[in-house]
Amino acid sequence: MGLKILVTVKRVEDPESRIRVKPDGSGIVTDGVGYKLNPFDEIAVEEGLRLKEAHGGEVTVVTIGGTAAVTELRAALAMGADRALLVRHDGPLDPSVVSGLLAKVFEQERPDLVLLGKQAIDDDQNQVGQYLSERLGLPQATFASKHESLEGEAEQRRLPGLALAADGERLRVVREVDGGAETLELVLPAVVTADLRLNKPRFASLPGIMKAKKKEVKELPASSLGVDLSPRVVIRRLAEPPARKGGFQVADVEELWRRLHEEAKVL
Amino acid sequence: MANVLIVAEHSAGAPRKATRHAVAAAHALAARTGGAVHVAVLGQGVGPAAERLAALGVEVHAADAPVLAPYLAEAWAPVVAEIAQRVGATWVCAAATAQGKDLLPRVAARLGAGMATDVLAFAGEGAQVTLQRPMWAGNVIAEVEITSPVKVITLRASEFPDAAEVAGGKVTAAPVAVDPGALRTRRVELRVVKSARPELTEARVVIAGGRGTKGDFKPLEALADALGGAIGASRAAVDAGWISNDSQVGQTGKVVAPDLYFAVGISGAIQHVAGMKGAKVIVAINKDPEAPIFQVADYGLVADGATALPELVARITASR
Amino acid sequence: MAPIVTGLLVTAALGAFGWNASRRLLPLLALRREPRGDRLGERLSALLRFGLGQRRLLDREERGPGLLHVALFAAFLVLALRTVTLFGMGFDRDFHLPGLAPESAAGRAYLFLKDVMVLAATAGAAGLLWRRVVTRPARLTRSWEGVLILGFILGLMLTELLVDGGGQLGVAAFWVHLLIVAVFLNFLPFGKHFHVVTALPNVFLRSLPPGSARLRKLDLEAEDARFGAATIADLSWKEGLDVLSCTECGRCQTHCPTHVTGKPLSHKAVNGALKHHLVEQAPALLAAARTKDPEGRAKALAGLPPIAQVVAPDAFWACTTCGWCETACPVLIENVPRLVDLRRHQVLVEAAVPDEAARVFKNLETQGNPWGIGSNKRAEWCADLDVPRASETRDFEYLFFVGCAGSYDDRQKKVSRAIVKLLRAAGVKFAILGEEETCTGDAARRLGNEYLFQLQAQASVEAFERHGVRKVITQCPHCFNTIRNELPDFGGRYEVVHHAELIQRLVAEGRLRPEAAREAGPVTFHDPCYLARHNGVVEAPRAALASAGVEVVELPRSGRTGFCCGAGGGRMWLEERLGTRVNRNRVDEIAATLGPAGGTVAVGCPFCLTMLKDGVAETERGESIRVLDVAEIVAERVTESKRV
Repeated sequence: MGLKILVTVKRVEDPESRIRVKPDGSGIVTDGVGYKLNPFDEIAVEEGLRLKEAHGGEVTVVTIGGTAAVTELRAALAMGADRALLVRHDGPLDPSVVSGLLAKVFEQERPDLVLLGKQAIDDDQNQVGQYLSERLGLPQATFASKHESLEGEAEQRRLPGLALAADGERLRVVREVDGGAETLELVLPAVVTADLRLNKPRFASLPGIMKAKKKEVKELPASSLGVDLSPRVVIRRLAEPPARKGGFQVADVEELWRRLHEEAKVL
Repeated sequence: MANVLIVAEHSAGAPRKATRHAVAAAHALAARTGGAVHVAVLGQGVGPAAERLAALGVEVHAADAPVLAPYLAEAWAPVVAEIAQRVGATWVCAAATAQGKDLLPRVAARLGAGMATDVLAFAGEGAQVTLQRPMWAGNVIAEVEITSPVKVITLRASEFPDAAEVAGGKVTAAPVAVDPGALRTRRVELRVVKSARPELTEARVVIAGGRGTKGDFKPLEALADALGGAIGASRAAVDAGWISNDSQVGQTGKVVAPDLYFAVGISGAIQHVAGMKGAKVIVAINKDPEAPIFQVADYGLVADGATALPELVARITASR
Repeated sequence: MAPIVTGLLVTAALGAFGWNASRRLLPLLALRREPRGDRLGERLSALLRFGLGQRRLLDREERGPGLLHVALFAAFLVLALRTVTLFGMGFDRDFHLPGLAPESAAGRAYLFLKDVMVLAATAGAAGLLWRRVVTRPARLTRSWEGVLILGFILGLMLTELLVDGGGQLGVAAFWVHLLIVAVFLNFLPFGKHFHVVTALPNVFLRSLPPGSARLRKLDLEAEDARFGAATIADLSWKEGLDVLSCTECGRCQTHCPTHVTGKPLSHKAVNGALKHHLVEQAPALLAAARTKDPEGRAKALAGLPPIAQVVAPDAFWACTTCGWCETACPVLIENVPRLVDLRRHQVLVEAAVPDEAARVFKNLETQGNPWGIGSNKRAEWCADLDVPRASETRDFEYLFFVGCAGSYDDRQKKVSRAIVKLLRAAGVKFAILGEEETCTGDAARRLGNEYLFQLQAQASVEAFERHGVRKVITQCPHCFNTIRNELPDFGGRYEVVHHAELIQRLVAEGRLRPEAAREAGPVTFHDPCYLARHNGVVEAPRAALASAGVEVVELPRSGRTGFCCGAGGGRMWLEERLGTRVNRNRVDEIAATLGPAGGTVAVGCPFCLTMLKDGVAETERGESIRVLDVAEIVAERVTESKRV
């Protein structure tokens, strides 16, 4: 039988690329910017694959975006996902709309588990998983992590961090909370969002990459799902933060402390 | 009337500091929209926390029931949404903590609201409030407007002042209609992180030493103790045998992205920088003013770490 | 004399030898196909030079034992005729080879030559025996086999001398001689002395051009594609022949950076292990060789164990691909391509990638450089220099391919700027690709990620073609090698020069006139492997330095015998956890050469610069030894106003 797992993925700007805002503040300059699979989503894909390897089942990846996002779907397929779905939409969507579309996909796919990255590193909203659970009335565990170190043996053996109960109906999730780690038990179906320390994603093998090229990517227009696509959050303007110049010299320890405390707010 | 509702976080009978800052932000927001500030306190035995919040001059809605302890998003979301509707809240806010981020999108979904995370400041004109929030890891600041009737936000506490105590607050009881048997989430345990040094790749603060430390890592360890940070090192320090090789930060060592990174006596060759360039704030302390590390540092101090670090530790301790 | 006895001896000896030799050679038919029938002229020349000419044995660093071997080899060639004659005499006392009748002038001359050769061989064998038993140099494997063979040779020579003496002793010596020949012959297939049979063919069938500087392009799309070496059957038949030809002389180890610093890689040991494995798996390989249909072949090979059990990952990940071993091997065995094939299988199929390598691969994939710094920050090093872009002008002769280190590494950026200064001073029309430039993929390829390499190579060729690039300047010997030797496989053919070569040329043409000025202290030069060894560029950097009035004090290991800095083959990107540090070893040598007052070590490669700089700093010699690129030294002596 096994677990039917749906993992969401998003194409995002590589954080290493210099992100510059267009002079009129209407968006960012995309020329010369690298793109990649959102790192938190990559962790979610990895966790889905580990669960499948441990318990059997199927991993389907879904993205919402333009045709360029097929690259990220293929990256997930190359890691070992079984099927891919592109909900076709050009231009930005806010998290409430994204969760609406994903809820429709959920109704079609009926997975036991939805895995998402905790947030996309472009808009940094950290909302979709939670919105989705509430829409579907499902239990949620955000910021999934694990007690074991990423240097440890369990990680070497690629064991899942999420623990499925013997009856196959409940899932234990260790989640990062302020000041510690909390373990939740969720009754499936459920929604889990992955944090950074859940696992180290695998490196796709070449046969995996080659197979992924041949796997079908099912495509359907976002407009066909009967969801109102109009935004509830509108970006008015983008700006670059006041430049904190590299090489800024402080005079002494007192000034260093003051700037770290008041300006950078890290102490 | 555009009322503002804050969802409080509390522990041991007191509101968390982040919540007090959120209340201050709510006052600023309410002043612009002409509404009142309400606070929702959920849990079991929330009386003392509710009283202390009321002292901030707000109306506190205390939802007190066993089913609300411990915190579970699934149980809290309907209660918060119900309070929001009852008080006619246009704005529903919380501090952008792990709990706030976990809970509020669920509340927003119940209220059909749009939401903004990690709000840094309010902008716009008069009652037409827009929000400033970071995108692309803070490389871009966006000004956004929430167009739904109800607007949900989490606030970055450090960007707002602490709330002052004023008269006029009160506490009312809020009804709780959550069926414990219907919940499909259960908390199994909570492990509070021990105060021992965090793992290098997981630490919020990393203090890394290089050849310039001449092998004396004690001042670095003292700072790490003061900040709950981890100790890192350049390859030179590892090679010299001053510290074990699992502390190595760099292209061929660990890649770290803490909130705060101290590079002490590290020259800053690209192989090292590749392992820490993701840090949000980089502090370089080095005797050599020409060291390339100053090019990547946000704050540079030309000094010997052996003398500067103890001073800094003393300054930090003094501020507490 | 005794035709029946001789006949039986000959039949038995040849029959047994034929059977055993075929058991060694026929399994090679099951290995990967690789054509070696082209370029006959070059093959013959290699056969004359390296085979019959024993060129590698005369290399300066091993000339003594090399000459002893040459003596044996020459004797072997001359005495082969004598052996045939002696066997003939077993049938008929008066047998002689046509034209070599004992009383004829030619016959007498031959007999004289034979006697000289017997003496030469005796001296050679005795000398080698002395080395084996008494002086015992480190590179030699201690084995009874070597001693026994030398004993055979001495026995043959002794009996040869006695045969000529005649009498009963002569008759006895005659038979003993024939018997030793028969035993010796049948000894060959079982040990390293099989090279007597395989060495000359192995040299004739060499890789042309050498496979290390131009790794085999994998066809990644083919239906039956094999991604690197999973089992021995994925090695090429030539690699199998290499293994059978290894004489265990250990020349490959003397300057091997990994072996010298205690890593678990010895090419000699790898050859031994693979040879043993080939023999062990001969039944399966023979079965596969006999089968014509692919399915039957696959079935026969299905039981082969993973080759990673024969050559351990720690060994094949250790190689810096510096190429010393291949420069040293007298029989032209290629070690690097097969190690890369082992890495390829690990990376591409098993996805068993060292963490640091996985990071480099991701960084290359997303940003086109190993550190993962934004590709749109690639041209920031020259933001204030107004360097023309190939996308903005067609008026350039050379593309200056800056490379990743030259673009992003603060230290190497200074070299990039020095090169720009030199090009401007000489009035060279050049342009850069700017943000369109991407890593050539050298490290990815040598770390086994052929897929990523091919993507990078295609991207580079496309960018070059888009802007009509014909000539390329590189400051990194790895870029140099990849663009020059490996991009042609992707349809990109360019004239590539390293900046040191260009400086030499510009000075010769009178376009660049550095003021001759000595450095404060002595200056030495560290040869980059991918310049000196893999591409034979040895003189140019020295000439460039000389043109600036800088005289080079040579390191003991220089030029062809240069010692790797430790960063080649992608090792720059892996932590060096085993043994001692390669760069330390080299820096100690540099310090000894420069003397106690220190001086300058000139380099021509960003990896070498980093490794040596680190090594200098680690050994606290930062105050006394400067590490500078050739371009920096020359640029210091050039003023831009001298523009021609």
